[in-house]
Amino acid sequence: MLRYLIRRLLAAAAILLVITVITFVIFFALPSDPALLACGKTCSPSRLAEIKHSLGLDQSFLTQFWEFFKGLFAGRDFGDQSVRVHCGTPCLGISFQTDTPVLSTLLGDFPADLSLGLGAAVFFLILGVGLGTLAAVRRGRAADKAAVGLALLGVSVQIYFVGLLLLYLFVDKWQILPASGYTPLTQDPGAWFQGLILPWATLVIVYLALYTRLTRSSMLEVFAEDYMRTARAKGLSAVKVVLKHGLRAAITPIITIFGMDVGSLIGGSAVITESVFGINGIGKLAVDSVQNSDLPVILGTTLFAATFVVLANVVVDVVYGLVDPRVRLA
Amino acid sequence: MTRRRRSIALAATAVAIALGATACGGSSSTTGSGSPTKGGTLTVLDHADFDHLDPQRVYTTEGSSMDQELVRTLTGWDETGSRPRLVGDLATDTGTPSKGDTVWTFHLRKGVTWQDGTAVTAQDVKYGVERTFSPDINGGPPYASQWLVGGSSYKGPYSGKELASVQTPDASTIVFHLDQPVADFNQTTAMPGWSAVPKAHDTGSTYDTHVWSDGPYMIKSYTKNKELVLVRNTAWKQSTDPIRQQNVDEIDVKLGQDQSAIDQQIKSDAGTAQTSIMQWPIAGSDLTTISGDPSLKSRLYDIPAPGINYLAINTTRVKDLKVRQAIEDAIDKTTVRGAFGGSAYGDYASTMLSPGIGGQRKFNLYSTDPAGDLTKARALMKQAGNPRLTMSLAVENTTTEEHFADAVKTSLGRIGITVNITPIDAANYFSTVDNVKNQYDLTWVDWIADWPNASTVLPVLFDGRQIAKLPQSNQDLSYLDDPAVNAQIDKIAKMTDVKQADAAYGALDEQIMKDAAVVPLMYMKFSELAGSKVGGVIPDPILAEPSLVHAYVKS
Amino acid sequence: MSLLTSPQPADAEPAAAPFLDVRDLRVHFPTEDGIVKSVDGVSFTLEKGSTLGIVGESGSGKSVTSLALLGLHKGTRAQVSGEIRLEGRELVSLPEHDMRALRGRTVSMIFQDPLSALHPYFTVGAQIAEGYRVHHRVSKKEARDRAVEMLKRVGIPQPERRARDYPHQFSGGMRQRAMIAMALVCDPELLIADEPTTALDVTVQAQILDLIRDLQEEFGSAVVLITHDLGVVADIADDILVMYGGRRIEYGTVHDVLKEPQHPYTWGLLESMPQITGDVERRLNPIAGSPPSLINPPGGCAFHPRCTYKGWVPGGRCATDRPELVPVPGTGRHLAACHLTSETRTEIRGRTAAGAAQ
Repeated sequence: MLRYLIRRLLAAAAILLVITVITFVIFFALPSDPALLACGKTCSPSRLAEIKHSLGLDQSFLTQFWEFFKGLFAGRDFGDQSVRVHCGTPCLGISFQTDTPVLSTLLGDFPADLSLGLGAAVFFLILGVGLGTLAAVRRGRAADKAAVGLALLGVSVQIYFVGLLLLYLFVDKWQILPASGYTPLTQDPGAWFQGLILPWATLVIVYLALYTRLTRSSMLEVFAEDYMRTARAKGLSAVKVVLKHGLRAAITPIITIFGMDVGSLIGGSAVITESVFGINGIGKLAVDSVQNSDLPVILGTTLFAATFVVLANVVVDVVYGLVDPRVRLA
Repeated sequence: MTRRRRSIALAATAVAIALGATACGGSSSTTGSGSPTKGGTLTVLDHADFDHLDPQRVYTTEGSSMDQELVRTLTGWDETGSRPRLVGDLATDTGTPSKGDTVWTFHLRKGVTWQDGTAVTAQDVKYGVERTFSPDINGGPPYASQWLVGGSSYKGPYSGKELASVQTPDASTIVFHLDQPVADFNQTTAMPGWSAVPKAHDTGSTYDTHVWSDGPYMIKSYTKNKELVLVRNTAWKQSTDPIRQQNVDEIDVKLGQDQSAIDQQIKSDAGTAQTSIMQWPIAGSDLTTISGDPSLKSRLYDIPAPGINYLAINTTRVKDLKVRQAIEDAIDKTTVRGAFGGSAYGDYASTMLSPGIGGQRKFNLYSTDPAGDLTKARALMKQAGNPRLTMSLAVENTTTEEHFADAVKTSLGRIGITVNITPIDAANYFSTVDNVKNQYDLTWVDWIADWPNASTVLPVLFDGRQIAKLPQSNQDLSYLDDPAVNAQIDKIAKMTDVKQADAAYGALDEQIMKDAAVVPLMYMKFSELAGSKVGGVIPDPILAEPSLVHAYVKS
Repeated sequence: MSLLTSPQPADAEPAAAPFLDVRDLRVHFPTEDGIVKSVDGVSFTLEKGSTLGIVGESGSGKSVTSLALLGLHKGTRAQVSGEIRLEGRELVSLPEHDMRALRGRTVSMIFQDPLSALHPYFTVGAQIAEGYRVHHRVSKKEARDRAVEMLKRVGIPQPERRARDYPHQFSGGMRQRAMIAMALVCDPELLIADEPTTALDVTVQAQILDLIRDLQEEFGSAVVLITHDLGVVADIADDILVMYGGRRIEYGTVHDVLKEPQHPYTWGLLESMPQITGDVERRLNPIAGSPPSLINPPGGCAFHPRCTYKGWVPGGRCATDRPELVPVPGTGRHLAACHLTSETRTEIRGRTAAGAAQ
């Protein structure tokens, strides 16, 4: 197991390296110039050149990439001699726009995505698996059709529509909830929860569909397996047969998808939800950074999100190996 | 001067039929609401973070307005009267020019201290100005590097070198040597960059979040894109400061909330919204309802901006004067203004200098009917030989400007000009059109003067010699390079009498308009809303912001 | 043991009620295309300590019959009618809740493919222990000990260690032994083995059959063995019931049916078996044709479309009259459902035997 883990983690690191290179390359293909944006309105060519130099943008692509790569392990210094800014390991660079270290900005925005993503994930997993199981057990009947229909509705509506509709109903019209937004858990648990109810609900409505259908079809496949008949033949109650024998076997494909979804959600993929509900998370940070041609932040958010997805992959594979004894982690 | 991503500010004004905003001028409520109360917290709601608070780097109106609480400049504006009045801020007066306005001397007030009690010296001011030259300290206006002798080769104080053209004969005197006469230099020194920075507390490129204060407030905490908290600077003394007051205990700036949400919050006037104010203008989609609501009138501030919204005609591509003049008459400014939000947005413009800019002369060389004079336009086209022309029009890629572009297209279609619209991503608009590699026949522009003098408008926008000097940030989008105009610009720059210069600028405005290099569209107005318990707000027509220097919260 | 020809007249009372008494069992599945009559009037009896072999090809209804014995059609769309009496208790009308108490405990089943019939995610020991705990209030440890004991009983070496293994870690034969252990963990009185050796090598088959026989002797349970393999039946069954198209076509002791088969289908089955002795070149002799549709079974005798001897029945009765299961003259307990007369059958068998000898 340990050897397997080490191999997977090395592979993950390799993937992240490739992603970094690709992001770097894409950025260089963009038409906008961060030095020009930093320089401001009346920017003389000599001034522009100076700024380009201080941002390190006049170096070759390989040099810039190498500097960045080195910084990940050894930290980096930026700026003029007497007022150097040191960026500690792992150095993801300093934002062109805010002059703050990218890593600290990411870590500052991370709790919002963590709360948003994990919270929603817990809800849509439980609800989705529950509804899917119900639909499978009551296949063909009203409950099945209702569950699948609801799920279909959820996946068809656009996420921004759901978000805005919920906002309109709960905050503006009925005034049940205060304005949404992120309050740190450590600061005010009550406000943290209240501010996240609607964003969670939005994500759940959209993701629920996937998990309901996935669970349903996985369960139906499992129901056709011989061991389910054996379990009944042993005299087990229907509940035990469905949950202990059935769900346990059906859950494996769901684990895979769930891990990936959680990984990408906490890495900041809920961009639209963040922007509808005014949550300053990594998704919003990523979008802003692209608009501002803020390369260090673009790189940072990309790597951050990629890291979580890649790690989630590894975790999922390990869990899979733990759940299904037939899988030999090699 | 810009608002950060000012395209958002203007694009936010929606397509709405203006109900005729009646809340014009709002209340200049500095004196009307009684004497200020001390204490409490003022909340400021901004939908985006400041570009910078570092005084040598800030170049937006919001940042400059907030910096007024932290950083004192050599001169400043007293806006409590009917027109802004230039006064000495760190300096005892508005400075002494000599040698034909090429040498300016300022004496500093006694008793001005930093937040740690140490005195603010002339050396500190020199150090601050020198910082502008470092490539790490980028983003700010170019005047220091443009005018100070030796500026083009100086690389900033971090290399250990000083700039000789800034002299400090003693701790309270500072002398600037300029390489050309600048009659209104003491208006330039009201900009944030002409302020003191203590070398011991300079943190270089991270100074934005560590600004050392000599103003009534100092930074308690600043988390970028989240929150800025200012608290009383106990070392500040009212007796040394003619511009500011220190009323509230704390200023809490919350960053990142959606502008429409901010509008609703302050409009609702519930809870902390009562003691809140915004810095960015009301979103276009909310403008009509808010400006038309009589119950909000007492806390709505309509602030005229020293700026102009216009269409630049590229004179190197649209060479025929008659065609350009026909365009002037053909444009229907009513539909154009409608696209930007209607009359709440501002008045129709016929000059490049807006009211409020020193030197503005009122004239209208073209159609007096804002809807245009189609007959005259057609006649001019006939004189030009009735050419069937196709022109490119550059606008920002926003809904507002899409509608604007349509309005222009329709207007010009009536005189046989086919307009091809090129929408450009809003965040990159100016860096794109300012690059001489990207030229269009017609370009939408807006411009706010750095200080209310024509010298910050006409030379920048119409001196053709700048094009070659600044190929990536060219502001002369008419690509006008008229030797007569250039000569006039030089001549006026040498004038030492401000009144004389003003009159000459007014004439220059008219001269350029005769050349039909630009179509002025609207003068701009920004509308801001405050909570009912906020008092002492002064409309600042120089920054087009609600100035907070006298703000207080009622209990 | 006693054999029934058809449902007893209401007033007749046998001397002692058989342990398992199945009367006119019918299992019909309604589908979009029609009603599938998988089991269409099957009756048999079984005593404790004996083994009944139910033989037939795919689709003959033998597995459906076995599932009916466990009551596994309850709650599905299947329509079950007839009677299944187990020690006097009638199972067809028994509610699911009560049936559950019997499953795994009084009636138990060994399934065909132990790799798919055992849950891949649980250890073998856990699955056996679970079967025990469902019906007995014991601690986990006690159930585990019982599981280990059962594994030992079925001949699995190192049972404590192997109890912690997963089904996929067992060989085919060992896995089937484990399945048997699980089926027997509650000492069931009726054991149903559905093709228990079909998925195994021939060499392992013999071991498993021996095991079943030994355990039957030890526990005294009644065994219903379902198979398509006559060799298996010959080995351990006492009685044989041959099914075709959901119906019984021949029923008797192993000796009677295999030595003196009376039905053309049974002849065909015997003929089609590969022989270890005899000519290598000799071709296999399958029964021509394919199993009948269970939705629209052929009129008359279900086998008649494939029967080579229907011409021997006068008047074409095979196509119109359904033959009754009647005793073969001269025997007390050998029943066959065929219109051929006993004499005709003897003649046919003589001829074919002679033909085969050449």
